[in-house]
This record gives sequence, C-alpha cells and structure tokens, in this order.
Amino acid sequence: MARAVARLLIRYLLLACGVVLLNFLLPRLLPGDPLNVGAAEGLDLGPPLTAAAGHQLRTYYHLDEPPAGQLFAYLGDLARGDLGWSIARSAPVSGLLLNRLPWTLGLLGTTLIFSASGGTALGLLAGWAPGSRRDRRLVALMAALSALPEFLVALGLLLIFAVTLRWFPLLGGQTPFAQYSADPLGSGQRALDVGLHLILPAAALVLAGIAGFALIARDVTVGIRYAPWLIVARAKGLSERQIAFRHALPHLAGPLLTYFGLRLGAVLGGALVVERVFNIPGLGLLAYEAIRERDYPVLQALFLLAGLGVLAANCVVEFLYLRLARRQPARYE
Amino acid sequence: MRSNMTRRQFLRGLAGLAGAGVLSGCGTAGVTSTAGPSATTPTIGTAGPTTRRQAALLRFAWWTDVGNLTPFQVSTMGPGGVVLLSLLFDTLTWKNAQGIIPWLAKSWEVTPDGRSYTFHLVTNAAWQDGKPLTADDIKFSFDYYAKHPYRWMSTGVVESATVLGPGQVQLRLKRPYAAFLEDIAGTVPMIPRHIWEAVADPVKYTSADATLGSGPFRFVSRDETAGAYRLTANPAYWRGQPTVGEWRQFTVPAAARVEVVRQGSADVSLSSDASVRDLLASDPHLRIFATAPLSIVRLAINTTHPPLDRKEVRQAIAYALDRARIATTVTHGPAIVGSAGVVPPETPWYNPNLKQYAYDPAQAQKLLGGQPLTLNLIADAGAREPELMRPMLKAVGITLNVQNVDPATRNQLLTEGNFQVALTSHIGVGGDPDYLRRWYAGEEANAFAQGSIFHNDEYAKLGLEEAAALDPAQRRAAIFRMQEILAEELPTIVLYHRRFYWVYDPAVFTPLETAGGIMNGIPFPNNKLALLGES
Amino acid sequence: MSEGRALAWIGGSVGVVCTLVVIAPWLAPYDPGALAGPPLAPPDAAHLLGTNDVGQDLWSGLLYGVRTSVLVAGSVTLLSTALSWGIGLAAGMSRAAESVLLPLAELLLALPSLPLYLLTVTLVGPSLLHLILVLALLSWPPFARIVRSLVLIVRAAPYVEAAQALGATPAHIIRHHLLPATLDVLPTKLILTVRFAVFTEATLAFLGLGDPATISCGTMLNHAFDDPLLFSRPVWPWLVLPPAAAIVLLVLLTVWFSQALEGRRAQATHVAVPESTSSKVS
Repeated sequence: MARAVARLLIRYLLLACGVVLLNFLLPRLLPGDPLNVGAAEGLDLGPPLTAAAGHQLRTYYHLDEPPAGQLFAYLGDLARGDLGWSIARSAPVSGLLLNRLPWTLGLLGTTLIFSASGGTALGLLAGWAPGSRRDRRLVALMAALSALPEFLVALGLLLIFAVTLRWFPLLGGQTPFAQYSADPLGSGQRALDVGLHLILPAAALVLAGIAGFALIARDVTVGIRYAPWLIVARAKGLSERQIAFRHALPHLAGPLLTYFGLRLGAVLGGALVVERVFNIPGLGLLAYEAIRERDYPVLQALFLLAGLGVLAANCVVEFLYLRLARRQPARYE
Repeated sequence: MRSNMTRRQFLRGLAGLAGAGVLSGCGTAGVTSTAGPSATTPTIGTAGPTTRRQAALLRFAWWTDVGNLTPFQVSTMGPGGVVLLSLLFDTLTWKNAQGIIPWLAKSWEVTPDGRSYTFHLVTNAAWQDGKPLTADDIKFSFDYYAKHPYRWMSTGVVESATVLGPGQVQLRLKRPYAAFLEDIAGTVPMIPRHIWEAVADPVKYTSADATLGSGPFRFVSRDETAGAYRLTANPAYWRGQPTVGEWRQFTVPAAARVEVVRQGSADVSLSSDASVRDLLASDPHLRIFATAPLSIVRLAINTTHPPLDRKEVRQAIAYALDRARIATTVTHGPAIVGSAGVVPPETPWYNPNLKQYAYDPAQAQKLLGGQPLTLNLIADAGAREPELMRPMLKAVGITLNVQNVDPATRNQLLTEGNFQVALTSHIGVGGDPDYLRRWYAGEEANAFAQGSIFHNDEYAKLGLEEAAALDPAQRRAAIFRMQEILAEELPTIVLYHRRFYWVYDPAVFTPLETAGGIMNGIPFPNNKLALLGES
Repeated sequence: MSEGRALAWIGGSVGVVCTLVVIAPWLAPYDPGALAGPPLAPPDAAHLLGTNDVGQDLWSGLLYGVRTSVLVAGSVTLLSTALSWGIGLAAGMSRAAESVLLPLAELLLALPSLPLYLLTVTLVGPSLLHLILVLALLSWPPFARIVRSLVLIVRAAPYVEAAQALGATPAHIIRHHLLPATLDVLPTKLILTVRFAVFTEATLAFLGLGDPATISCGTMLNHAFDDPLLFSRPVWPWLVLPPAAAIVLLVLLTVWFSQALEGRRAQATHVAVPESTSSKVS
C-alpha cells in the first residue's frame, strides 16, 4: 500500500512538472503580440505608438528576452508564489483569479452536487427495475439529454427564460452596482440576487451533466441487482428502499467517483461556454478573453490552476480507489 | 410597449433611490412609491439645489472592461478606456463640435519654426484633492511620459518641457508637427506631480490616488469582474459642476446591449446595426443618435506581392466590388461607400473630388485582361463581408480564399507583411489626418500601421510636408493631394464607412458630436462637454 | 414498440440523414452563400426556414451545415479511434512505448479540454482540416488508456502466454488475441467520439473558431449570436432553432442507432452506453 501510494505521488509530481512546462509553452506558441492584440466590432484603434515606445513596453514585460530566460523567470516567480502581472488588465494575476474563483467554484460545485446526486437517484430508480417502463423512459430521457451540448442548453434557457419571458436577468453574476446593507437582510438580498443570476447557468450545466451520472448509476445498479449479498439482504426481510440506500448506494460510489474525477476537465470546458453565454465573471470567461488578448501570465496561471486541479482530483480519486479496493473484499466475508 | 415603459421607469426609480441611498433594504417601499399608475419620470436627485437640469445617474453599457483608470493601466483595446479616462483627467486642449478649443490651456502661441508651443494655463484648475494644477504639473507629465509611455498616444515628438513662469509652459518638439494640438495636446492626460513623482513603476501603482486627476468626475469604484465603474461628479470642477451626478459603466455583450437599454437597466449604449432605428422607432422613451461615419471597413493590400503590385489589379478589385450592396447588407442601413482617399465624408479633411470606383465589373475585367487570379484574404471571425465579396470577385475571374483569424493573429500577420489582402475595420480616421502619413511611413510600432505596405515617393514627400506644415491652406493642399494619390494607387480599398447608432434616454443624456471624433477620432457622443451642459 | 421495429425506424432515419447529406447540393434551393432574399425574412414558401442577417437562405445553409457536421464527426471518429487503438496496443505491448505514450496521454487529460482546443485552433488557424486534426489528435487519450489496460489483462491470460511460448509472432497475438478482446469497447468509443466531434465543432464555431469557408450548424449559431440585436427582435426562433435541433438530432440518432443495434445483438438489459469509460469525451 505505502509503495503504491509513493508511486502514485511520484507519477503525479512528474505530470505536474509537465503541466507547468506546457503552460509556459502553449500561450507563447500562439501567433500575435500581447501588446498589439486589436479589438473587435470595428472599434479597433491601435494606439499610435512609435517604435521606440513599443520597445520600452516590450522591455518592461520582458517580452524581448529569449524564451529560456522567460521560462526561468517564470519558474522563479512561481517558486516564490508570484503568478505575475496581467499585461492586458494591468493587475496581479493572483487577484484576477481570486476574484473569479468563487463564481466558477460556486457554479461548478452546485452543478456537480445536483447532477451527481440527481443522476445517482435517477440511475438507481431506473436500474432497480431494468426493462420496466420507468427504466425505458428514464433511459430515453437521459439519452436525449446527453445529446445536448452545454452551450445549446444554455442558449435555450437564456432565450426562453431571460429574453422572452424575462423571468431571469439577461446576463452577469449579479446586478451591477447593487448596494446591499451590511446587516443580514442585506446579505440575504445579495444571495437572492446572485442566486437569481446563477439559476439558469447552473440549470444548463446540470441538464447537460446529469445524464452521464444517471446512466452509470443505472448500469452499476443493474449489474448488482442479483448479487448474492443483495439476495441475502432481501432474505433478511429488508425493504427495497433500505436495500437500495444501505447496500446498493455504496457500490455506486467507486464508478461514480472515477467518472466524477474524469469529468472535471470537461466540466471546466462546459463552464467556459456557459460563462460566456451568460457573461458570468468566472475563470472560463477569463480564459476565453485571455486567449484573445494573448495575456501570457493569465493563461499560464489558468492552465496551471486547471491542470493541477484536475491532477489533484484524479490523484485523490486514485488514492480513494486504492483504499476502496483494499476494503472491498471485506464486504463479501 | 406600455408595460415596457412602466417597467423602465420603475427600474430607473429604484436605481435612483438606491443611488441616493434611500433604499435601505426595504424593496416594498420602493415599489409602492414609484410604480403607481400615474407615474411619470421620477424626479431623482437629492443632491441639493441645482440651477441646471440635473441627471442623478447615467448608466452606460459598454462592451469590455477597460482596465484601471490611470494613464498607465487603462486598456487600449478599443477606445472605451481612454474616453472614460478623459472624465477623470484633463488635457491641454479639447475638441467641440467645431474643432479644437482651449481646455487646461486657455491660449497658446507657436514659434514660426513650428517647434515651440507656449501654453498659458487657466488659473482656476485644480486637482481633485484641492491642490492647484500648475505649469509644473504639465512639465512633469511630459517628462514622466517620456520615461513611461502613455499607451494611447506616443509623446515621442516632444523633446523637452520648460516652465516659463506661473501658468506658462513651453513644449519644444523634435520637429514641427502639425497634428500636435489635436493628437498630443488634446489627447494626452495631464497627471499630478505630487502623486506620480514618487512612483517608480506606474504600471503596478494601484494606490487610491492613482486615479486622481483634474477632471469633471472622480473615480469611486471598479468591479473588475463585471467591468463595472462608478464615477461621481466633481462638484468643484474648474469649468463648473457636471450636469450628471454619477456615471456608471458596465460590460454587456453585443447581443444584449440594446436590450438592456430597452429593459431599463442602462441609459446609453451603442450598436453598429442601423436597423436599431426601425426597432426603436415606436419607443417614445428612447432616441437614436447616429455618429459621423468615423469607422472604416477596408481591405489592406500588400502592394509588394504579385499580382497586387500592379495598380491595375487593385483598381480591378475596387471596380469588381459592389461596395454599396456590401455596406447595406452588413449594416442594414444606407450605404456610405468608401472614399478611395480613405478620409471619411462628413469630416473636415475629406476631399470630395477624387477618382472613385463605382461598381463596374466590365471595367474590372478589362483591367484584368481576362487573366484568372486567386487571392488570399485574411478576415476576422464573424466578418460577413468576405462571403459577400466572393461571388462579386468570382464574376470577374478572381477566386477568393478566406482565412479566418482572430484579431491578434491578424495584427501579427499584417505587421509581418505576411498576407495578400486583409479585411480590417477600425476607427481613428476622423481626427487629424496625419494618420495618412503615419500608416505608410513605417515608424509605427503597432496596429495602426497594419498592413500598410506602399511605397510612393511623392506620397512620402507630401507626408513630410503635411506633418511639418504651419500654414493650414498649405497643409490642406498636401492632404488633398495625398488622398488623390491613394485614390489612384489604391494601397487600401475602403469598402465602406460606418456609423455607430447610440441608443439613449433623452431624459438623462444629450449626445454631442465632436468634430472628427473625440481625441484622435473616437466616434462617441459622450464628449465630456455634453456632461458639463456645454456644447 | 418492438426491438425490430425500433431498429427499422432508427435505421431508416439514419439512412434519410445520410441521403440528405449526400444529395444536399441538389436538394438545396439556393447556394448557401448567396444573398437569396431580404435579410431576416421569416420562413415562407420561398425560404422554408427564412433568411439570416445578410439574406442567405437558412434551409440551404442547414443542409450544408449538417453535411459539415457529419463530415467532421466521421473523420474525427475514424482518426481518433485509430489513434486510440494504435497507441493503446503499442503501450500495452511495449514498455518503451508505454513510458512515452502514457505520460503524454495523462498530460493531455490534465489540461482543461475546451481551453486547450481553443488555444490549439487559434494556433493553427480554423480550417475544417485543422479542426478535424486537432480534435482527433487531442481526443485519443481516454480510450488509449482503456485499450492498454485491456491489453495488459489479456496478455497475462494463460492462453496468450501459451501462444507466445509456442512461438506466435507479436502480430499474430495482436490480431488473434488482443484486438478481439478490445472490440467490446469499440461501439462506445464510436458513439462517444461522434458526439464529442459534433459538440466540439459546434462549440468552437459558436465561440468564433469555425471555418469561415464551410457553413456548419455551429457557424450558423455563431452568426445568429453575432447579431447585435438578437435579443431585441423576434428573429431567433428561425435563426437558432433549426441548427440547434440538427445538432441534437444528429447525436440522438447516433445514440439510438447504436442502442438499437446493441439491443438486437445482445437482447440483454444492458441498454445504455457505459459512460464510465467516457472520461473527458463529453
């Protein structure tokens, strides 16, 4: 066990190094110059900088140094915990990320909780009676949902509920400039406001993500329905509900956990699209804009955060799996 | 429409109340007091007695965050940042509907060699912390920008700044520069010496006093994530108190920008789609202001690249394109076909007597001599013009390959000269016409010179002449001749000139058209004069 | 509905779509790039689905757009599957290959997928060929890992060791023992990759990284959302709904078709796609 854990950690450490290197490399491979990115919508007006002034700025951001020098500077900053200074936004990158992290985490957290729990419940419900009408209907519904990409769900919800019916705000994470009092009533209003803004984006992500969880949960449930320990449980006179919750649910944990870890990367992508559609100031939207702006420091930090996040999550999942695998046989004794 | 109206007023009422600090967490009180059936435009503004018509609040929906509002941190991606910055900081000169007017400088003289400008400052200007604005500050600003460039406009032509006496500062230029008063004196913000002289790295200076200027508005707060800004009127402004109490600006994506004004959560916004006029024609509470056509959509042509090195081929392309149809189709409004001389109509430097290239496919075929061509076109994602151009060019034997790139990639390819034809659309062609020289002089470090590969001795000579000219008539003649050369040689083909359609609520905002656009050609009607109740 | 009838229906629909895709150029009433009518005309007899912001016929656009989606889905699926199996088999057979390929796969899996695609497509420029290559080259890791693990299991089986001892060549072992053992997950890979390709092509096009030269459901949606007045005028039903429905229908048909096939093959309760193997492909 200890050796397996050590091997796991070393493997992930090496991968993390790879992620750091790729982070540095990928943004710099993009064509374009962070100091000359241009705007869209015909409002482009490259400021008339002279070559000399341009050179001054280039030196300031160390863009004229050879890549190796830039890499060492980046690694040095990273070692000191400094994520750098955004070129396009003229702000510390760590601050930019911290401002956006709550939005993305809030959105993704809500989404993962609802789609994982809802999906598991639906999967159990369907898989408990395989082939029944309920099962067939649920499976058909889940298949239909899984045929919907996130951005379409998001667009659909936006057009129907925000544009046409005007039940929800059009865009943003909260009402701009809203001022709330410091008392609990004020924070309640703020929570209500943010909630109202996030319902549609979260619903979009849940709708697009629930099918995966539901289908896995159903498959696993179908697989274990006639397992010997279940028959024993039934013989003991436990009700179906008790069996489902006490005995079947723990068995779903393993596969769902794996799926959960593997989904993380994709969920981040989904968040990007949904944040873009609803203009939620999260990390995804920042990534989208930073790519357009060739903002190397921001891109590096974002890929680092996402890459290490996914690695860490996978590492934890694998670790749990190791422990689960060790404990599993005990249940059959 | 009716329910729309009450909703709008209701929301404005709420916003006004919130702004005045009346709404203390009790939503229901606000509802009963403003949403009654007989509600007219609520009277807002509890700031005290005022003599002029006051709008407590103006909310502007813009398309991006524009950075920190200091001259060293403001975003130069698009003009939104520098226009907002002009509310906080003042310049030596400014522009109104007619042209250049005195601002921080109440008058100025220029020496006969055109190299020394002496500015006499107004006496009552002050920084927002109460300290007087002096000639020392002006000198300091230019000295400081020499070390730390202002990114919207280079001050490289300024050799030195000298204080001649109280309220008198002399700027010495490296060479005579005709565009100086409009492009530099009227664009570069003046900064307080007592704050910046201690700052070694202004790009990373984020203290609260970094946004302190001498302008009509004070910076209050910025929500970086929402691209939202709050500015309040500076009651002690040296030109008088602004008529707008608070300026709020926030970021709204294109598809929603007009809608937020209709739904009442913003008062001013803009669209490039002319059909917004029909859409809002029936709305009694909103008006549309069409700016002068200061945005151009043009093809930059690499004139060193065969077969485009032959002017006949470039002219053939111009004849082959039904530019009026392209303009109408894309903007959904009346076409303003591109002037072959680049300078847009309705601006002071426009030469109306140029060779123009009316749609004439037969002429195009004649110029091409029946030879089939293949051209590669670089265009931004989402640009509709290439699709419209393709069949028109096909009809005269030119096959068009379109390469879709994002703006940063486009700029890179253009800067490197690594292209045949590129579609670009931008502003900055309404103000001082020195850009005609700068585009093709090869001294620009950036996007402004995008894809401007054109070598013509007479043109280059005229450019030097125009830039140094002190006599307005002589300068005008040079600029007009330069437009003639452009029209004959066509190093760039202007497809069309574009207006922006500003949607606004007349109760809180009165648009003001600036001669040739704010500063160096920005087609915004929110010149700060409009917010000061001047014109 | 019986299994057979369902299969017939779904198979028929797949056939119809394939036919539509092939004969799109003859079926489309207009050139999808041509200005065929007034801008933003509502659906009528001349324009079955109306026209877009510049007056292009949307029904013609849709026919061509579905064609693009099918082309992308097909090519990406073939390429990505070939890569997954090739790399998975190689990593399962040779330790040297494994030490290079496995970390590469894990690295690709660690980076957030959509930003990575955005970045890569921005890097190489958005043409249809680039898009297909990028999607195929970045989507092989999950199943390469699965194939490798299956190979490792089978290789350890006594009958394979026996075959090896009897002098079977590696090629023989791959063809007769390893490959068949991995074919169970092939349908899953195919469905998931079709879905992935259709989704990602549409998403990238929606984000402005589509190929301007080829019309697709995603570029149609992107143009619809580029309209600065989209939310202000009631045009979105015919601008947005048809391409959106087409995307959903394409993926649904693939899923149903494979489910029906599987149902007929196995007649078992195991209907759904085992998504646990899907990993990042979604």
